[in-house]
Amino acid sequence: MPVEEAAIQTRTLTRTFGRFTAVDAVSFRVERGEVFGLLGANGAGKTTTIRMLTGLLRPSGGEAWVVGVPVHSAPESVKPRIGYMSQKFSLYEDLTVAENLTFFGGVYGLPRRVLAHRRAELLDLFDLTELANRLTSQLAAGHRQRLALASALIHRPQLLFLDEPTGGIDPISRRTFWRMIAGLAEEGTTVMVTTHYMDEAEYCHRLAVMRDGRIVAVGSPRDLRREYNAATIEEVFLAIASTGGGS
Amino acid sequence: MLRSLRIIGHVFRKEILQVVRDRQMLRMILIMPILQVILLGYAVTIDVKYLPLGVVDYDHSPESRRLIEDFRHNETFDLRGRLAGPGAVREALDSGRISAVLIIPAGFASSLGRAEPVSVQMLMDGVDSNASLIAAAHARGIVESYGLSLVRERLAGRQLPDLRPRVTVFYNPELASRFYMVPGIVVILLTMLTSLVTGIGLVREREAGTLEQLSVTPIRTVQLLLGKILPFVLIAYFVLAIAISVCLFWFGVPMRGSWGLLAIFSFLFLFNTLGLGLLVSTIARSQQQALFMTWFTLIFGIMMSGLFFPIENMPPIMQQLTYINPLRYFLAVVRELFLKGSGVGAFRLETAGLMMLGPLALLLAGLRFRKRAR
Repeated sequence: MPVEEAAIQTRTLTRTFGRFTAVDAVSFRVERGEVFGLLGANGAGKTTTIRMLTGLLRPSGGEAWVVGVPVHSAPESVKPRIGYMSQKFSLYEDLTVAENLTFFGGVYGLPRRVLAHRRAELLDLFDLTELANRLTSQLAAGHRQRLALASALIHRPQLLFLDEPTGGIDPISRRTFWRMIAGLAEEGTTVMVTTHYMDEAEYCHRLAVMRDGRIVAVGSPRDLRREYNAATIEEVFLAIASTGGGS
Repeated sequence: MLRSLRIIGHVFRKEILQVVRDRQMLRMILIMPILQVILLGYAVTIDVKYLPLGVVDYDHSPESRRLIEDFRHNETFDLRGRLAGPGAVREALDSGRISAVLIIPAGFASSLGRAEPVSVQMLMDGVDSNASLIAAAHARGIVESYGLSLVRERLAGRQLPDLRPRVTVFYNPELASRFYMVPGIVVILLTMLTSLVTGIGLVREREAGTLEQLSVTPIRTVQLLLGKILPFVLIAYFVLAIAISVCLFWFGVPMRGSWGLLAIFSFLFLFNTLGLGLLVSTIARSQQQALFMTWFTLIFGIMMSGLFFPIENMPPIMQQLTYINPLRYFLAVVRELFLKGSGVGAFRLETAGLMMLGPLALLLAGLRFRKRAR
């Protein structure tokens, strides 16, 4: 299978929990440097898809290549090359900002010099240098989110997974966040993101809409709006949800 | 290899930072061992002393008063006073004001004078069966030696056989149960600290979601678990040093064995408790569950360790069960090291037990621990 050039390529990727099929034979492709959005209601299968692609969950069937690694057979090998930030911003509350970055960098096995350099770089990039010695539990939600993103990027991953990264964040912080994501994509990092916020979908290069474990529409925001004759992605989403979608 | 050590080092450093940040926890780690060993060292004793005693004397003779005096001068009993009759006896026992009653019948002195058989009655509160058993034996001894002294007086001037046992007690000549209990309390302290802290530590990470964050990194299970365990090995030695200092300098418990052996056996034992903690954390879904499971296991482990109840007195099946109890082995080692100064040759069974159970617990924990994809 020619997978080298794709950031993600799946073929009939499936995951069942008992009788329930969470993800149902999903096939899609994400190019390198793309910001790819996964939309869908709660329970549509977005998070299950991401957990399979990050090697957290074994697929029940089908195949998935992530940055060239077959995660269906070698889930551990993909881990050094991807970053992951979940909706919960999993950080150590009782460590400082700098200590969190050091720890996650350390866990990826970065040598000391590289780690120190990368930490300073990220603190600067995310405007956290002044808060470096602040305990994480004392940070505002927006700052915590930026620290979580910085921690996910400490090892320079080729591909970044964001699972509902902007929950509980004020609109200004959200816009700053998306500006950073755009910057990452320009530098060649592929980003796969799930979100509830339809206005955020506009920031993605391409979108896939999931319903009942299946992808029911794929395309750029503009193409999708045109196809469904809608003014916004929200209208597209509602149209798909009410018509019962395609596929 | 070097890279692996570096990763373990980062987890280690993080754990230490988290412990140091938690002031309350740090204070507990420092002060708890001292307080616990001192307080429990006084409280946990199986010596029976000053058992409250009541007396009913129906005879009012010089002989009955002499017997009562003998009881007064024995420190097993504390003579609280005279009781009028059966009603008062019952009331005093029921209310718990006294735990033993000596009843001397009317005609006690005259029966003794006529060399007729006569008995005095002892009533015991058997709720604490162990204490009453010991006290009853002491009471028998007092009454019998009083009787013997009467015989000697009656046969004064005659040649009498005089047979007495001469008991020499080794290792704990004063038979102080404190010397026996205090090192045991140190063992329990170490067990509680290490198993609870590790068990809760990993569950806390699961609850906070940081465990999932770690699951998407390339860290290996072994690296993570070692990094989480080793800081607590260090802390455990620290606590052990504090607690043993209290043993030696506060209670004057002698240390006759080798410090090196104690350190080595502590290390073997720590892998058992830390392994248990980790195993619990792979099963428990919440910190409460982890706490409950660890408690349950520990109570079993402590009760079946031989600290409070000798293992030889247990039914055979329960005795067999104690072979899977690491506390049993470590307790034996600590006691023998302190009081006897035994060498490593005396601990073959203990060495084997600790070396098998610890790695087994760790192995099970490692197998159950789900870092990899499900």
